[in-house]
Amino acid sequence: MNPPTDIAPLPATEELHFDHHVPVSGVADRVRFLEGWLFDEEGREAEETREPRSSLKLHQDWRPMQKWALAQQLLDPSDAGPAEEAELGGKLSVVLPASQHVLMPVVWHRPADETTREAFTALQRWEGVVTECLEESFVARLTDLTEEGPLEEVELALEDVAPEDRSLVGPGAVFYWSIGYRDDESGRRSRESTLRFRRLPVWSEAELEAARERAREVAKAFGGE
Amino acid sequence: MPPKWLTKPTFSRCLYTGDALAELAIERQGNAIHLLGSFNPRLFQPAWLAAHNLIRDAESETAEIRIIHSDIVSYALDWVRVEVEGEKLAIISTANSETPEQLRDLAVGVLEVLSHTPVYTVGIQFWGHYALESQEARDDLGWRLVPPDPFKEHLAMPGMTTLRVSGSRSSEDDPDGGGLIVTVEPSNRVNPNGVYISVLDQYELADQNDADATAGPAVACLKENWAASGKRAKAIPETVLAPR
Repeated sequence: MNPPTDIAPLPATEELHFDHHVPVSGVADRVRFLEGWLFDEEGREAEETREPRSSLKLHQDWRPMQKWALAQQLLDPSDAGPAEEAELGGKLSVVLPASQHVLMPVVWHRPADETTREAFTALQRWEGVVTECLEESFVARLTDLTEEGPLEEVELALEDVAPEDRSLVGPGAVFYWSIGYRDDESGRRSRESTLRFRRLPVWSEAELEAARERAREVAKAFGGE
Repeated sequence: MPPKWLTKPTFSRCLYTGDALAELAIERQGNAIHLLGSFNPRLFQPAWLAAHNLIRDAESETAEIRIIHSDIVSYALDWVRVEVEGEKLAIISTANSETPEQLRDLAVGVLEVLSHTPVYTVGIQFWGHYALESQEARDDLGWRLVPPDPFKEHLAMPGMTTLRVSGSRSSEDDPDGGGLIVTVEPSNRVNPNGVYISVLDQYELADQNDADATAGPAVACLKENWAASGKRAKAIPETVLAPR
């Protein structure tokens, strides 16, 4: 798992102040206490910039990771002390070691991660073989890679091929045609069609000479020079 | 109501599952090719791949270099991540990869260039993050795959966090050594109720002391087994996630 990169530096110790007495007598109460802070009545994660629903004066710019670290500490059953016995109130100090800043939650609802990361999601994929090159397009035979189906034939515009791949377009060339969604960093989704030609290693001079030699042998076998 | 996990007494990585899998959907998928052999990390720089026509020149110039060192090389293009250590070469998809075949072609291309490099093992891996419809569905899956009873005496609310199962391929289609390793975990990408399943199809091609080993068998292995590996990688999650 990669450590998160969006965590702002946080002092080693943060103090959370209660406006009024909040009974916290065990894990169940601690859970309820966190629910009021992190989530609204419908279970939605509280927005970063919104005033927290509880009476806690909390850092408004805390990220989910920091909240999670705090939640983990508050819910740690090994943390049995006076707070388990008596009503908490006034002031609660929570120490967040620096090491917790990079801890990843094992279960944490972070849907934002999925929409802010750039990704391509293929809906349909074909493998194509070029059968004929025309002036501004090429004809290809397609095999469906998404699910088995009959061979299809298609004519595609050369301008749809990346400039660096155009030299690869020729009879027999293999390419992959993918149609899908592209999610960009800002969460925008657009439909995209991409063509990528298979790239083969460059032939070395020795390999070319070996091929020529083999061709000469074949030609000789058929009575040629 | 808050998410259910918050009402659990611990943050255990339980697989929360259920029985209605009709809306099973794959949210994210990827693949990788792992090679074990004898590699020279310094060779595998983006410019070297471009010089052999295996990637575009522009891709080489914009590669995101993580480390280039005599012992380890790691960098990413838009569609592939390359990691090389002395004995390992991994070609891994990114979120922007368009099709798994891109990675196979790159691996084949590299091995064709390095035809005299000894390669002992080939691993073809596919993975997916599947969205289950409810927490109950994930509970049921986890408890079905790893029944909690043997742990209940000592653990409160035991839950599966990682399940790894290995086995050989059926003898009919398995002339090569090696086998399959299936991993099931709660997904760290699809929340809530996501399940990650990885299928690693491993082929043992030569003994590590075999002085005559080359890359040729690895190229043949990738070409010949690619389709079958892909089918297995699709069928296994379907079976694992199918309701009972």
